[in-house]
Amino acid sequence: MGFGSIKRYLVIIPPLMWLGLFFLIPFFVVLQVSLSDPALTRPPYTAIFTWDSWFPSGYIGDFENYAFLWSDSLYWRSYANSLKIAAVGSFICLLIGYPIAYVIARANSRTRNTLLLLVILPFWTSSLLRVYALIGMYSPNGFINSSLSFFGIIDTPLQLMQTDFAVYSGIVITYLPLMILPLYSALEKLNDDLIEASSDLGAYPLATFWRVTLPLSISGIIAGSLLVFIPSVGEFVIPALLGGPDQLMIGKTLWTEFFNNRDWPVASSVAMIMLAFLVIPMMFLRNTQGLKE
Amino acid sequence: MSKRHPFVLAMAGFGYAILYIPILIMIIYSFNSSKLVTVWAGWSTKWYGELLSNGQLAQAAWISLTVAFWAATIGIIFGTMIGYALARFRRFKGKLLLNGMSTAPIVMPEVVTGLSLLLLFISMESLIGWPAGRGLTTVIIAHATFCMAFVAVVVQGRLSDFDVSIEEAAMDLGARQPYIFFTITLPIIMPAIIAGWLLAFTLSFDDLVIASFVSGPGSSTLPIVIFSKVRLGVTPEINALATIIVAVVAVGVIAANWLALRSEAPKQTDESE
Amino acid sequence: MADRATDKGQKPFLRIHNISKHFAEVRAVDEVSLDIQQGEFFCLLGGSGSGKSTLLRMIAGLETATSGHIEIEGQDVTNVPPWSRPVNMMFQSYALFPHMNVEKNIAYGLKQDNWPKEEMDARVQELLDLVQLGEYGKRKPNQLSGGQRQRVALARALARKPKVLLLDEPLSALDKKLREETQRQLVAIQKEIGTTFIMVTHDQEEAMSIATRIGVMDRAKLIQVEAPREMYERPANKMIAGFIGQVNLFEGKVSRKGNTQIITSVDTGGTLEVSEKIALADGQVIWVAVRPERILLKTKPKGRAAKAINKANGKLTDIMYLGGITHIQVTLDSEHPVRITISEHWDGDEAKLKLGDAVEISFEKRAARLLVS
Repeated sequence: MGFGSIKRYLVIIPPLMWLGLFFLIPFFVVLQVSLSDPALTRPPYTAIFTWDSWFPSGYIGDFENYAFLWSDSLYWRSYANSLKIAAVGSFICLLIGYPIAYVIARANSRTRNTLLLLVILPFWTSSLLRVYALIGMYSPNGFINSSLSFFGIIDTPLQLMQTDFAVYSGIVITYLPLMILPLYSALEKLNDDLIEASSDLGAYPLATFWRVTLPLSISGIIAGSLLVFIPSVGEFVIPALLGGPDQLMIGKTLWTEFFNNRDWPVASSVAMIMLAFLVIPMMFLRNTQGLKE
Repeated sequence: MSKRHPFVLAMAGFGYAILYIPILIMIIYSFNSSKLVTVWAGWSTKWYGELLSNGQLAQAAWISLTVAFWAATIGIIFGTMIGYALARFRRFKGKLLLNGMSTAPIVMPEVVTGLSLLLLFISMESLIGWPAGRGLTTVIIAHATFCMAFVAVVVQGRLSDFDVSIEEAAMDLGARQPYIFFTITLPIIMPAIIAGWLLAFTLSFDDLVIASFVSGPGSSTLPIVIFSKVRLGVTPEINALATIIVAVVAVGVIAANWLALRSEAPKQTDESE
Repeated sequence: MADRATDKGQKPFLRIHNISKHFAEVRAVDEVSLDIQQGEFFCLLGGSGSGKSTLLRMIAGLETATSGHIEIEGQDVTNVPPWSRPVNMMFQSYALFPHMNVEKNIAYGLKQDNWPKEEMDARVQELLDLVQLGEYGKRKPNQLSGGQRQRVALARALARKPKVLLLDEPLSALDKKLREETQRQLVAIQKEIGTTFIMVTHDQEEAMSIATRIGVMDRAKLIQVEAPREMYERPANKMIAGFIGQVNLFEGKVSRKGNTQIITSVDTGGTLEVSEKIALADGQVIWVAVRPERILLKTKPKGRAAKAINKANGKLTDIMYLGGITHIQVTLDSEHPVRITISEHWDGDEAKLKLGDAVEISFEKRAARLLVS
């Protein structure tokens, strides 16, 4: 491409070094801390990382923290619950997002642009504020409860906050655009002729959907589901604001471990295991090229 | 036929309602004169006034804007380099690594990114004395890292869309790199870079989790301050702040979309056959 | 063939009655009526935007008619959804399902009708043989050439044994040579299975060589329906005369001289006569259409006849030798251009023709057709 190899490396090396230093190396630091001794790493934390207490002084880490995670059901329940909530949340996003993506893809070009804009717009506003807006809806004195009691439908407020329902709502309002965009781009590529050909060959609309539309949008379904699933697993804001003490999610557990219990080695082990869970879906996402949006 | 099936339309409308109703209600309540969110006591803009006189929020907003500006700017410089290298250089040592490292930050759970960067900063400090403590610098570095990943994806997408022969024509006319890059390539991908900058700015401005890990005393960003307030429940002041942010973003996105549409308007043709 | 098709005694197999389709303000199809008999290969011919595809899609049920109705074998199908109509369509884009192999594509319609497995497999094999794709059953559409895809689309559309097969510009994506070959195959297949075919095309040569009857559409209206030869010989108006083959038009004005009507033409500088008897009003403007191969060319004209009938002088302005035939353009003294096609059988010596030669053109009364619009 006309770039000499020296000029090329002037382009490649700076970002490579930046990402190496601030993205790759940190994982080795986390790995190291996860193997270190909790007693040594209690706060005040600045004094902990004197270099002679690490490998050079002959200290070898152990898997004590991982063993601890295994022994305490809090952690594996957090992992299991995170995976469950992320999976169910992705599925709910798919159910809600598919009709939207379908309608956008089949609209004429002017309407399509507006509908697409309405999907992208919330994505540009802070997810923290969108989750916050749900508190205003769901809290005991929030919009839903006060409206229902105003019309005399209920006497005591419904428990909407601190439920799975609230957490799923949070996932939907935060990640729905990430589901819709890849679905839309898959459905948009679907030629109208194929749907007409299916009707013409005797298929009822529902049969056309199952046998033509759905199979041909599978790449969008996979990409969209992964784009919702992966960040949902590590989600902190949603369980922290909408979930109750019982809604264990691993992002929140890590946060508590780090900021409240100040147990950095355990927090690091939690992070390493979370990564191990997510490596496969992440690799999968890269192959589906769902990041093109 | 089934294009406009009423059931599908109703489902889509329901989806949009889910996205917008909570925000609309939040906006309406930001004009409520009562401090109690449950009671509607008439229209008022007093919470906007209180917001302006709240020094803590103003300071946090300023910090967030500063961080977002620098993170997005570093992000587009490095992100464009990454995007260009991945789209245009055929084979080079470390391409796979660069490709992996530039997409992974996008999907990495924020708690993991935040924790790992904080541990890095602490060990670097004890090793080489830099960065001294946590503050603006560490937040900017952390945000710039994921910003460049987003920019790289946007730029790479734009570069792979546009015809390499334009660059080859410049070469044929006697131009050399990096002259070609600055006179041909950069102007063509400029819209993507601007979009990348805006996206990066927004993501940095919105980030709570990573900033919570790597910020220090005196460098609390707006989301950190908002989070500490909303943990305790709904407050009319935050409603007002959120309304302002939503309004600014909505105006910006609609304006950008309008500009983009206008620039490609002549392409629209209707076929009636 | 044309006689069978227009036989008045037979009840029409497909009847289209006064059908219209409006898209918002646009009339895509305007009050079209058409009867088609069983076993016909009918071509709907027209330019883009003429409404021919919309009419086809209404027969398929893919567009709902704004007014009018469609009957197949006496049964009103106007409001029957596409999946319940006894017609199938072959799409211009072929619309093959990319996630299914050739066999699955062909079997798609049969599955909807719940055919038993063995019969379905046998039917698929029969169709693969019909379109000469026996070996390609397991391939995906993207592993086939354009011509092969076209044949899969045909097989798929025929699978359910439709009463009418609709073809929307089925050959437009093929190159010229393959297109001519495929036209022949299409006619052969249609003869073999005897199904009624209705094909939309913008290519008049294609329509002429394939169809038993042609319907020409222009600006949402069906202008003329005729067998190819009749349509060529007796076009209904100037548009059709020019659309089906090439034509020379001489404008004339009707006037009265004593007891007889005569037609004088500024184009030929003389009078025009035709063998047809049509009632004309004095002062009416008409056109006389003559095909290029029906114009006689004479070199070295002997001066100018006083009352030239169907005759004019001019000079050669273009000669294009095409092997068997030669296209010649003559510019008359009135500046009106005339196209002439001469074949090897011409009695003159074409090698001696030179640009600028003075020539005389003429045509016989029965070679001319009178057009009033």
